Amino acid sequence: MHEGGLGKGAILLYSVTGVITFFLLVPLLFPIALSFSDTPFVVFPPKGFTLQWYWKVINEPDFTTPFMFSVQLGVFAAIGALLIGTPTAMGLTRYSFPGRGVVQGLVLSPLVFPMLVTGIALLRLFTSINSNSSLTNLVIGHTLVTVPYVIRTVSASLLLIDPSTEDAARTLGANTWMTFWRVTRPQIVPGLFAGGIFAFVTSFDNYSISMWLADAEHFPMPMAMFALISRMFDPGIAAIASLMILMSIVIVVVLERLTGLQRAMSV
Amino acid sequence: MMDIEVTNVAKRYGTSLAVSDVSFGVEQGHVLSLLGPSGCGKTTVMRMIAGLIAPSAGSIAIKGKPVTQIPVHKRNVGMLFQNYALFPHLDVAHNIAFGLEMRKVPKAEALKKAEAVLAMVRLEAFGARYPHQLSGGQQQRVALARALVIEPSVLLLDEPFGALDKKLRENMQLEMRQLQQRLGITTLMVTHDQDEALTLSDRIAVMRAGVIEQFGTPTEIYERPVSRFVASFIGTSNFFTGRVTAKVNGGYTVECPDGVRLGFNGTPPAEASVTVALRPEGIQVSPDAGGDPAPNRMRTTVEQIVYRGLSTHYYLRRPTGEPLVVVRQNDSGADVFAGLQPGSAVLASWAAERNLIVRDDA
Repeated sequence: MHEGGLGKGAILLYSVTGVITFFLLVPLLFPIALSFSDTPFVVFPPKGFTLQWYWKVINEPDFTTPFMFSVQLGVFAAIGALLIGTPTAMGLTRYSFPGRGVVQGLVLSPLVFPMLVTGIALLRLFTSINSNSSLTNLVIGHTLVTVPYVIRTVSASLLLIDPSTEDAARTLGANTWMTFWRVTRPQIVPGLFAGGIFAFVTSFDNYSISMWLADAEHFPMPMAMFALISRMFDPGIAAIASLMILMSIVIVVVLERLTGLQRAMSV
Repeated sequence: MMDIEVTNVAKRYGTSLAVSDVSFGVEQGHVLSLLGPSGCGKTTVMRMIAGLIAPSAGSIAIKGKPVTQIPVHKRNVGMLFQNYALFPHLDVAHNIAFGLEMRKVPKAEALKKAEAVLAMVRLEAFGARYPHQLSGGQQQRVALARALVIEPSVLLLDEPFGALDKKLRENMQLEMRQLQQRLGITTLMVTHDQDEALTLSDRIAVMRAGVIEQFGTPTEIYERPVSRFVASFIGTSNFFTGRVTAKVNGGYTVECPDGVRLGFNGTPPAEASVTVALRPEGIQVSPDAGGDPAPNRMRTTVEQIVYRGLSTHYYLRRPTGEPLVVVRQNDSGADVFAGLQPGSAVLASWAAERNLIVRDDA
């Protein structure tokens, strides 16, 4: 048996891994298979092969408009989350102060708090302060729920770098901002990148906040998909789902290439 | 002129006092070591001088200018960190140029100066390398170049050689000392390594529990320790406690409870009971010929002999069971030490001036 081999348990381990992978992937492969079906209805098993449904959906304003809006919303939310989350992570990792644990719990609470409740709370808040811009409300809501991802990934990066490099920069004449921009920031790029991507994806995928804050002109992708599926019976809906899966795969690959997914996820 | 002046500086963390009422000065061109065990507050003092932490009380002046209220990035200090703290995302040349860029030196000029300083630390060809491609000694040279290129008012060294192996450490210490003397830069070093402090310093401040226990030249610290702590932290010492008894012509005697008598020259101290430190290298050993017990003589048995290359350590046992350490240079030929074995009965003796009265603070 060579070093690092699994020995007798190998067969069991491979079987279990295979079964789990199968259950994870099958639901994703299903719509991909259906999307190529050359039938006017969704049928299983798919018949024939065509790319017409893809052509149809990318020319369908009911798909492209919400898609572009969600991209825009996700970018805004990611930027907002990075701007708020990065200084928060710096404060939480670099300084000890009374009540740090409480603050830490508080800023991560959107992860465990039911988003539906957060959504209602935000709706009540925005109504009571007469904040009628749906875009602003959505960006604030999405930033709120995506900030914890940035805080966690940036904190993880900060813990990996040597804080004495920051002290060295300061003794060499860098003020607080220059120390961050020239010394800290370049060293936490993986955390910033991963945090931004997570924030974008979380925002892109969000339904439960959006459903309270969206209006007809600001209609994010998940809500559009839900609306489409109730009136669209052709495999176009499967094509939309496949495009979403493709986007996720691209993001995962990019993240892996640029920072190493494992490293970026380390918390 | 004092280049660094620390006056009544204290640092409090909550209710605990990390540094209490410390005052000292470093003369222009001198190396001062803050020497002490970990947790004695020496690093805190250095970080307060650098400006990385603010003192709770007292004032600090660099080159005659009060800096207590000046933020770290405007103090113009060069600091060398224990783990070098090189910027991992910048190559060597840009690491060194960083401080110049912060001083608004044009980038091209900064890089040119970095080249020159790299030559000074004998790393000309390494400008394009990244820190992780360098050995520990090379990283330290880069860190030194980075600290020196800004022409700092003072140089601060925080346990600078701790991460290097013994051989390299000794070379770097000598190199550092030569460079420091050539540049004439006032230097403050923090260390827990007594050899390092003795090798590199003009003055040593021995710190313990947030206060300076003794301040002096390396020779003074080693040969005239004021307290039991200093006598045992720098080098090793044998200790005796006894009462000042007979005052003989031109001297006096201290008598220990086990009958050992220590003879002194000069005037006796005011206290009746004193602690005496005796360096192990000041003791001679000869075959036990019996005879009357005289001052500064003691009958012992050899417990253990440890050969250390340059010297041999003899662990003797007094009749009371207390240990007595004797160190002898391995420089002469066969003599009385050659036949010694564990169990041998020997007579330890030493000169009166080897007895040092110290403050007992253990």
